[in-house]
Amino acid sequence: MSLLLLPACSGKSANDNTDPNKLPGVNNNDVGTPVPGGIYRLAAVADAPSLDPLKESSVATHAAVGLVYSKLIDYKIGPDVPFGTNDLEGDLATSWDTSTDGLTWTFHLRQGVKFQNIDPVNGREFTSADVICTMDAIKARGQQRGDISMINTWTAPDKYTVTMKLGAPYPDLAYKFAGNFLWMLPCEGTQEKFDLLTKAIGTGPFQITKWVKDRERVYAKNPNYYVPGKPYMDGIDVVVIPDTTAQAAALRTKKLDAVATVQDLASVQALVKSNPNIFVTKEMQYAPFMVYMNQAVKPFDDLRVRQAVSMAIDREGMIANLRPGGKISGPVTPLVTGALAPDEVKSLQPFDPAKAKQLLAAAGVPNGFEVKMLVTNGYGDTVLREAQWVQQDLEKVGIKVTLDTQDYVTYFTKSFAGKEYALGAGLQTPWLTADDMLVSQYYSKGTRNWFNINDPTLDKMIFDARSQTDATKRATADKDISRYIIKNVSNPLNLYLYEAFVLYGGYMHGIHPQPEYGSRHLINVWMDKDAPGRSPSS
Amino acid sequence: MVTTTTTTAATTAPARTATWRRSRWWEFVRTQRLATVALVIIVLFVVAAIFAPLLAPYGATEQIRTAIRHAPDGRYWFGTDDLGRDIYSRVLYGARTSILISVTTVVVSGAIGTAIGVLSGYFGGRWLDSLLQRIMDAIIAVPGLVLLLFLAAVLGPSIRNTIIALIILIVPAFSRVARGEMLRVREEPYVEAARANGCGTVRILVRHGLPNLFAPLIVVTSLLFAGVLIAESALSFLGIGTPPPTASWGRMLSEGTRFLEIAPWMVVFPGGALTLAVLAFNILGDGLRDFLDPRSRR
Amino acid sequence: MAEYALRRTGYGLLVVFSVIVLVFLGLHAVPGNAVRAQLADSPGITEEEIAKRTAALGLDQPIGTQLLHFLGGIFRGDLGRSFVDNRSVASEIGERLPITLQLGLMAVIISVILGFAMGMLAAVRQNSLMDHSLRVVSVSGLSIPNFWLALLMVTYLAIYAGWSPPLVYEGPTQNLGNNLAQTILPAIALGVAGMAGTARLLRSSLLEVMQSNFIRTVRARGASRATVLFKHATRSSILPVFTVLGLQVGAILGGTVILESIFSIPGLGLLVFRAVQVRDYPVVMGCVIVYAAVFVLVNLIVDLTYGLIDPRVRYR
Repeated sequence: MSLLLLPACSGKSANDNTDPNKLPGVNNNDVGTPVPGGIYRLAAVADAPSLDPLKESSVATHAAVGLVYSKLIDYKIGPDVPFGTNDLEGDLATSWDTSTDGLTWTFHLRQGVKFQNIDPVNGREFTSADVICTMDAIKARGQQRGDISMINTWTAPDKYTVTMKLGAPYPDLAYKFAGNFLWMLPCEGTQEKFDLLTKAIGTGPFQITKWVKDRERVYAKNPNYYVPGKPYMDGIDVVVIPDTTAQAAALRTKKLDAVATVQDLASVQALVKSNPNIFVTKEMQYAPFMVYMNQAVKPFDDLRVRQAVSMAIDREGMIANLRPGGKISGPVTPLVTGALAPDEVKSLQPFDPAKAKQLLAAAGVPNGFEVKMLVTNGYGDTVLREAQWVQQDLEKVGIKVTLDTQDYVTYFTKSFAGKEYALGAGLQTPWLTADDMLVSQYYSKGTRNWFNINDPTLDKMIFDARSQTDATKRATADKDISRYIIKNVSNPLNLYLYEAFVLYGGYMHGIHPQPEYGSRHLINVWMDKDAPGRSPSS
Repeated sequence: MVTTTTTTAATTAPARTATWRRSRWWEFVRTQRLATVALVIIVLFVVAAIFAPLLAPYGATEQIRTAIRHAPDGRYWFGTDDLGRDIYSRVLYGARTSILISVTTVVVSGAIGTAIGVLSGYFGGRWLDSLLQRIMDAIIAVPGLVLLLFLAAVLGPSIRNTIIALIILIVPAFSRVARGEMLRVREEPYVEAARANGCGTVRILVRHGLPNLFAPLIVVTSLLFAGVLIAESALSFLGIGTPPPTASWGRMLSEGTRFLEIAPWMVVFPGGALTLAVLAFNILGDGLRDFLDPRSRR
Repeated sequence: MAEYALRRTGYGLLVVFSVIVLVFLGLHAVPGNAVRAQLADSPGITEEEIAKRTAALGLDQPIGTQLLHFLGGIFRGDLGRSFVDNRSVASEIGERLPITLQLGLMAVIISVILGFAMGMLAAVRQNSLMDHSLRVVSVSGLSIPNFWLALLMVTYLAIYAGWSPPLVYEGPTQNLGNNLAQTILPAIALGVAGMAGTARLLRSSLLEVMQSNFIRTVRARGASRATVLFKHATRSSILPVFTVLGLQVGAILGGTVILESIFSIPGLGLLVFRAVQVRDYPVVMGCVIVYAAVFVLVNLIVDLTYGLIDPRVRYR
């Protein structure tokens, strides 16, 4: 059975400039013919802790090495591909098939792909041996081991084929390989012939020519890249600028080509006023803002209390006032196959403080109660603002919340993962498939089930859906699971996915990003002949 | 470099009657105009802090969702912030947070630091002095914000921990002043006389040591208030000091900076209040020093 | 003098040692764990994996053992390895210390030179309008938070002058122009407080000296106020400035943490801030110790210089 294409999900386009009055600035994104050359100058708020994808799970690392490495399969990119698509295409694999019993997967690799010409790999050809090396390394010490835990063995019958055998059918396997973490490394890397922490040599469109920690990362076009004529740009300069005011100043004075830290429309308008040649876009972020409860702690063991919390929160108010935009979310985030439509979520989880108070009364706490809410300053100011909004919303139904602000490490490892909390708010991991979200959080033994959810019916539903090979039936099953969760679990509460403003110089073209951590879409980006990034001293 | 004009040598100074005290006050007001103004400003801040609930038209954390980032007008005198909270009210409550933190810090570290300094100075040269001073020096050796960062990270962000970190930072300053005074005082003839008469150590320290400390401690206290206010705002700016949603000037500054261009009132008013308070403490400290110790006019 | 120098140096070393011990013990009382933080966002990591990595990093041994290990390492010039990327802490600090030192030096120069100029001017024109305005400026300089000043400068320069500092840090040997453009704003922000303090101190010190008998004699002989100021009074009025110079350097060093973050200057301040956020213990300890060592060294130099100038001090 061939699984080249999967049903597309109509996600919101990244460049939603349909109403010219809505977003300020210019939009020449798809105008003109590509002109090669130029350096793309970006800022990052923090540097990658190291370049090793086996060691680091942080987005900073994977965004950094995503330009250098490739995956077997990737989400589709291109000007006509909607943002958040669920369509896949082969990257290092040209095609893949599954046996009829769903237990054997065969990947056919692209031939003639060369690694970057850096010692000790020296531009040799990519083969199945590298896939085996990578899979072995991930299984042995990779932080992403869980992503391949359903695969029992992998072998390479020849130079361009890899066969994997599973213990039980897992129809979403291709999505795993297209996910955030499964970069294919050269054997020299996994065998430690070069240091993965500080060096990256891959088959991707750009190669790292210079990395000065906490200062800058310089990429140059990979002349060996397997797509002829691409990438268009000569290189990418990533500068580490922790302060958002400084980033905005740099965009204003044309020292940067893109900035993603400006959060509100008024600031964007002010920026555009002083520098009109700016292309303003809104990109949906995949990490939902969630409010979560520990079901082992009273009164959150009572479903009615959890539902009351859900009904007390004004999600749309938050989106409108605290974020550039967003989509209300159910247990599965809205851009992913198998998610409920926002309208249905809205009707199932209405904003109804009066009803919330009734539920609290029915649960035996008519006058509300006091509780501490766990938050961290590690996600930034806006998340703290969102937490304060939620605090006020809950106060209006009688739940008196005190914020317990912790630093990220304590928050994540001790309080959240250690389940030492009653109520919490923060961002959740940006999973890309429904199965990931459901299994990790809602399955009673899920690796991220830090909420003490234990519902055998739910467990069965999740695993039944997982083994459903028909994609449409699986999507329906997932939606039923979401409905069940909203009705019978009501925890954790994904409030919404939010958009972020990303500002580009108006002279940049071909920008159509996708949400996962890599940035393969940059191969299609090009800049005007007179773009500032074309002069050597940028 | 310390004066003799305020020595309270039992034999030579005028009796500290109420009249004398009152006239000292008037003298201060008369000669130190600027410092008096500063004192008045500080009193106003304290009043604002104490009576904030009465003076503030809105709650400190009350979000008026329809009035996000409004410019100053009749209803919101200082405008509103990004969650629709009234900035005038927050500045008043912020005075409360700042005064609370700085008073607690200064009082506690003043007590601890003075005690350490007095003991150190009186037993100067012996092992107690050395030990205490080594610890003080270790604290001083780590530059301010690095120390605060380290301590706040160790302890976690909360008002209580911020105060503890600030106390540790400030104690050496008090200790140094107190110790210096004690080293001088213990050589004075009346102290020797007291010792010869069989007065206990504690009695000597209290009767003869402490009164001498009054002048230099007052001066350093005023200056340290200024330093503590700035240090707390730096910590909040780094995201480590007073946590949300508490109104604190430092935190308001850091939250408002990203809106500097479109909503400058979010930064101007808390920043202005902070600067004014710090300025007042600095000027008061100056004035006190000039008044109590005119020979070392600074 | 030699005895004095030796005494002060030994004392300095003692202080650094105390700092090392206190810092080490303080950090290990902390909740949270570097290993967990690294694996935080990835599902499917087992407890034994975490235990394995914890053991590999030596975090499971008793505190006393860890401390002794650490002290031993320091003697060999080894400050350990970063938990995050395994690089040698000493070499990371070695790369970044000169950057911070440059910033600090520039700030000190600004504060000393401008402070002197302001202080002198105010003293010469005592009680004039110039004097009063300079005094107001200097008290304000002490009162404005340096990071706020920096942000105001960055924002309004970008808005009204269309200028912002170069983005990528380049050392003075690579590109002096860019380097100065990058470092001048934070140096100003850092130096303003010291400038204010120096100005005030110098002014009052000069005024005091001007009252002394020696000066009065010279003036009685007909020398102008300015001549007296520059030729005679300066020498002795400089001394009090020295006493606070050490503390000012401390304040400047402390300020580098925020200022480097705002201007993304990859120095020690930025390093320690990041390391604290991710619990990279070895880096935090290394940085705090180095900061203290620099402070002690600078104060030592100031003390010794002071000792050279004013012999009375040596016999305290």
